[in-house]
Amino acid sequence: MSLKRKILELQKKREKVLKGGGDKAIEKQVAMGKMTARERIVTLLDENSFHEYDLFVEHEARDFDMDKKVLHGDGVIIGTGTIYGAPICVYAQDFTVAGGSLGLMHARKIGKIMDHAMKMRVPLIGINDSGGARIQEGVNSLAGYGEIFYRNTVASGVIPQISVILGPCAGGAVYSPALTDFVFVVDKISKMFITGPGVIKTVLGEEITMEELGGAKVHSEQTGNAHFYAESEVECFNQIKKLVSFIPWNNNQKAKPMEPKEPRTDEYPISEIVPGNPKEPYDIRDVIRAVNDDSDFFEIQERWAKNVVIGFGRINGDTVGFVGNQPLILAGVLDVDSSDKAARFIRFCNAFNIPLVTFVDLPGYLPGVDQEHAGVIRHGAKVLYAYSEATVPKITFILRKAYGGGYIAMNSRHLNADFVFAWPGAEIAVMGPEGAANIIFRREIQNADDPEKVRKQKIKEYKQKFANPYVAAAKGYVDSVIEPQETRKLLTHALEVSKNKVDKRPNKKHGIPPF
Amino acid sequence: MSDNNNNNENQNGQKRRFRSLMIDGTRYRTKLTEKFKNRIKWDNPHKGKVYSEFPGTVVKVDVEEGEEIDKGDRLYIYDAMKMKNRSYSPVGGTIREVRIQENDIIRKGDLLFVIE
Repeated sequence: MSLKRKILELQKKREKVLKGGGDKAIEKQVAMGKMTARERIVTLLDENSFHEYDLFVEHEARDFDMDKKVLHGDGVIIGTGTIYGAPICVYAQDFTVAGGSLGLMHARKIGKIMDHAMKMRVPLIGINDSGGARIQEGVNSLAGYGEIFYRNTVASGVIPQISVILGPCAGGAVYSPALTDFVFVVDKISKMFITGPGVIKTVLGEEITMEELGGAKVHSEQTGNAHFYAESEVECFNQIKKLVSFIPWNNNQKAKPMEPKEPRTDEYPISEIVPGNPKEPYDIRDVIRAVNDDSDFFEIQERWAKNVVIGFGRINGDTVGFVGNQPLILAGVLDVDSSDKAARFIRFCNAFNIPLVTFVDLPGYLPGVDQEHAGVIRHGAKVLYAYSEATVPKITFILRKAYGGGYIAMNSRHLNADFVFAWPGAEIAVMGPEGAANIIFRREIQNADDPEKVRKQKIKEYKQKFANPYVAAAKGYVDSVIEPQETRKLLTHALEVSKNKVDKRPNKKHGIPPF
Repeated sequence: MSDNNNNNENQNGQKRRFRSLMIDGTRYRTKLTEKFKNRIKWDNPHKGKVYSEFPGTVVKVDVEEGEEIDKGDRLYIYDAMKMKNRSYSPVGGTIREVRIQENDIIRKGDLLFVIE
């Protein structure tokens, strides 16, 4: 056979395999409003950058007549490519091939590209669209899942790992996304759950749709399992690209800088955003936008635990991670969910050399039996742990109220913050003036002829004496009391002088965070 | 803590943007989340009320109304996660109410018996 004919043979083989599960299966996939696995990869990556491997891999299952079945690529596509020039390892499960079910070779392919990502120290993106374990392959498919989870865990904190849920992802399969750093979901397409509606109906007699049980809205609003929500696959891919532009390739690098830009101060006039009265709400995201480059704030988990805001932005071209209490929602308290949300983000930033900027304005932790019984002690401790553990530059701005345990938790000087700035309206105290006066002057108030008058007077006294930044500044807990206008200037400066920060901690295998 | 303004509308019948949330004696103007509004309210445990511990199907009910029982007597057997489980009374007394029968599907937290 001449080489020419051999090349022709290769082209024919490729053509066949590239069709995945064939035209009918592709039609079905399209009818469900989904792109095919290959279309997804091509849309996500830079043009012509994708190269596929293991195209000709075949399964070796023999039981249940599986030896008579040909499953192209064994239902998963793996390869490498780039996003804005950044190298990426990617896999996408192909639902058109045996429902994207996971067998031994399918899992081996995923493991191979994960190992590759680890060797090359580049981000890994996994696109999930699978009916679950390939039952015919029995324990081999369970082995496959386990090997993926193990690799996810070893890679955690070394390379960024991104999971995209573009179809069903049920049972054990959900644990790979859960172990990765960012999970993307798309409305009406993503479905994640441990036990499906069928089992729930049998056990509980309750009817629930897949969408209600584990759809995109549920995971981005209720459970916090998802970090990004999109209305369409294309929107989702754009979100992934944007995220990749903010993060480094691995834990030994920094995110690539961009051209510095000034914030849009006309739209976000920093001195006018925050009301003077600490009981009045405002949107903390406007403060973040008022200081970061081009006022472009890339929010993470924007639909879940909205009382704390997290996300990326840039200062003078360099990526920073923002954490801010959100007075607009639940007065900006820390509770079980928001503590969890903030702590995980802080740990991501620390693992990947992204400086942390914290905006503080909170009345403390949320009181209530439900919170106590849901373990607000353990969850709240995660914030303390994450900030204390972080060795990246840590810069704090106290905008208004910073009371009690909440003040300590929000990257205070006491947790080894590098810079703590306070606006003149900051109130750093054990609790709000009303509560404090009621306790400290209880007797005087009770015994007074006009208790209401005395109470008001005592609250006023306490406010004047303690509800300000100067008591903390006098102790050196606050480095500088600044005008709101100076925020960006000082933030830029603080980041500039923190570039060579060294913070050596005792050697240990790992800490034991409260999770 | 309390969120006093439970009606969503003000005097003009318009939807209010903000509600109030009391923390440590201070009332903050803010928005509440669905999760917060739907949080489980604290219910003082009542010794004689027996709730279901686990979702499942009732296999057998061992007691009937009016019966005198001792603490530790078996109340019912239920099938859950492919296992038969026995449930025993946390208190002694008279059975006032039996709210289940064989083959009922029960959810976690359903009230099953009242004992006095």
